[in-house]
Amino acid sequence: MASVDATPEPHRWLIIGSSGGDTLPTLPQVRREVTQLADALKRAGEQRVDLLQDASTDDIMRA
Amino acid sequence: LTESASALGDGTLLVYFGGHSLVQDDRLGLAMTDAARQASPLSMRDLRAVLDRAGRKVLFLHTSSARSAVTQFQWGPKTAILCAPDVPESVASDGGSLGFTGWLVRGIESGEADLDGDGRIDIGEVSRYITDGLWKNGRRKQPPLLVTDDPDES
Repeated sequence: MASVDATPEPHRWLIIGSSGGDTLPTLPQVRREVTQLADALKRAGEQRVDLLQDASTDDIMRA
Repeated sequence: LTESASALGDGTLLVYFGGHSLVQDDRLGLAMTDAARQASPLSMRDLRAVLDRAGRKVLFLHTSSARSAVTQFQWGPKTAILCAPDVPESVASDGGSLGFTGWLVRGIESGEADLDGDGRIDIGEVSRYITDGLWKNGRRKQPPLLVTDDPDES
């Protein structure tokens, strides 16, 4: 499996899944795909992968 | 995120967003769960302010109607953005075939996105891999959009 390292320097992944708005829950497809992406990165050896589902702006800034 | 980005120094911050976006006054905002309560969603300007604290930035956007705003926005140096095609409900897969994120996941999991076989996957390879994947699905009208200040990747 190939490394996903873009550079030899430290790096971090932030995966955000959000459909936005109080009246629009996250689409099941979005939820599934962002989870799959985070899992794939971890299996590829990525050390710093943070997944935020149904994220608010504050969630992102605190991540 | 601001502190984390700063702590990376010359490192790379990679952000993926999947969901809805809102275009207001020709400016793109990412719709968070609190978007309805806020005057505006997370704007590109706010996002750039955070991203610019990291040495290198890679942004994946799987959201509709992002391409025009992303192209017009002034991004900072050492930034690469890969946008999904602008198609209705582009986040959702169609008939079970893989979409933008599906091909991204597959390319990472299988290593197939390492097109030159050097053991590493760069953003240009990801872009080409997803484009080829979407073409296999028959989506020939619009490939993903790669915006980067690296002439070798454009």
